Amino acid sequence: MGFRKKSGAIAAAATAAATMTLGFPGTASAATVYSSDQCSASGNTRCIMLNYNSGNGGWLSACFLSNTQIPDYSGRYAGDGIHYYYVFNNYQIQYSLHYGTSGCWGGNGADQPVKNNAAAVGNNLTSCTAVIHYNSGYGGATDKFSAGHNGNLNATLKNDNASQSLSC
Amino acid sequence: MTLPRTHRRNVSRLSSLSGLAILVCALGLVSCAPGSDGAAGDGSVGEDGVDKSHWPTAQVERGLVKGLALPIEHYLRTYPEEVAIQRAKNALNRACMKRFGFDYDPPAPGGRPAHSYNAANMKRRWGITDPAEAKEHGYRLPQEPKDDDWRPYELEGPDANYVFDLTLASGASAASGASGASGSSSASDAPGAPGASGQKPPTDATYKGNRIPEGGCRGETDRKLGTYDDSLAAKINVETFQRAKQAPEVLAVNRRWSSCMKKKGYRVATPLEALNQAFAKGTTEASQAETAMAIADVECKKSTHLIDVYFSTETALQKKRIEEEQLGLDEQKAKNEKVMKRAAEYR
Repeated sequence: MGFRKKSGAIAAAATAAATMTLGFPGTASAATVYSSDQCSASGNTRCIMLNYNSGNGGWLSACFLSNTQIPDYSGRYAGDGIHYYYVFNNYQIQYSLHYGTSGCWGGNGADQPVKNNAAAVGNNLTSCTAVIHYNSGYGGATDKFSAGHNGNLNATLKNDNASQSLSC
Repeated sequence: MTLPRTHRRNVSRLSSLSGLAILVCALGLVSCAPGSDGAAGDGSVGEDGVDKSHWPTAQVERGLVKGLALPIEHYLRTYPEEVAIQRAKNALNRACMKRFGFDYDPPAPGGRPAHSYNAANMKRRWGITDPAEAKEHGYRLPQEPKDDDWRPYELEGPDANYVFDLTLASGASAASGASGASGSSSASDAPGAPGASGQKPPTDATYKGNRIPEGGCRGETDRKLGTYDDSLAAKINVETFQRAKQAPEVLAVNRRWSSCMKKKGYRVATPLEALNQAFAKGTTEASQAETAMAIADVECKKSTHLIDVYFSTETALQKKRIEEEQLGLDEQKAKNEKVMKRAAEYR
């Protein structure tokens, strides 16, 4: 059975249970880490921001930050029984981008899972394009956001952001 | 017509088609601005010494989607175009940042290519499609970068970040985050302050006496170059991908594929679900079990002609949408060609 979810409000505990049954090695003392910040840039200055809410000339809601490729927006297995789950959260971050400001506070969407739940992207990297895939594992059709650009993700049928790659 | 180019690591570097490339350039069939797609050269090393041997090709060269092109691709930005634009942006940004005393020196674009030529992502649009890759890598990318330490280029220090595009560090206020910046950057524009959302950053900020352009150097560069905008095509690209999932013929071939997979011992409803499953564990490498399933996946796609069905369904949907949006698409494409011409002037 797939890990894809159809609705936005998913209990993280259910997610954890589903993952455990897929056979994590040595999960007797497994740890669950909720992360909204997978961006290593100093001061979170150069990150790709995924927003929970869509916008029009401006974006403001809880967000998820990153600056690498992400094969599955659900999260990743870090080894030693530690599993990261990616969720939105509030940060005092605001990027002034091509189509308006992308901000990361305001409360809407905090603690919601990122996968299949993001409505917008703001790419504040200096020179790499953010590629959002509509399927896990870099599959499906994609939406691209150049460095310095922001915008809404396509919501035909539903939110379907599943993985992310960069191109430079 | 699209020009095949070498990109696989095992293919000989010298393109035997360089003669054809020059002829095709002369006939005006493809854009042959130097460096834009390397068509006029040997194709493997481009400007700035960038290694082009791993660049995605205009059409997939192996497996079930070999040679296939969806109608909307004609209007989508390509990776070579992206590189040419970024090269121009880097040159303009570098010059602007230098005026303020900063060394802005990102790596030459083209060094970390996209997985696909454009947003259509043909090779993995409908899951995996290459039997050789399935055998060797399961559902994983063959070119998964091993250097986990690589990160995109960053600017150093709050001042450089501010001058570049008015970015402030997390938690810093406008006053303290840009030491040396003076002018009327008001506190109400700082993140977290009431009313800050949606407001434009200050337009009359200065740095060491020099006025920062609106939007920082990035804003100035944008205005000089113009914006490549393929948003209409990008919208259609995703729309038809999603809507095709509900087409009766797609549902039917999914059932046939799924039953083929069931005979091989796998319970999975659709090829895209199979791809999701493989990555749901959050692991970084394919297990033997995953590789076996990937091989079965591609075999079943082949025996059910799944790709043909998906391809013809989306082609039909796209043709209709393109017809409906023809004027807008042509307009955007014409504007984008102007941007590409301008980009070629900046190196």
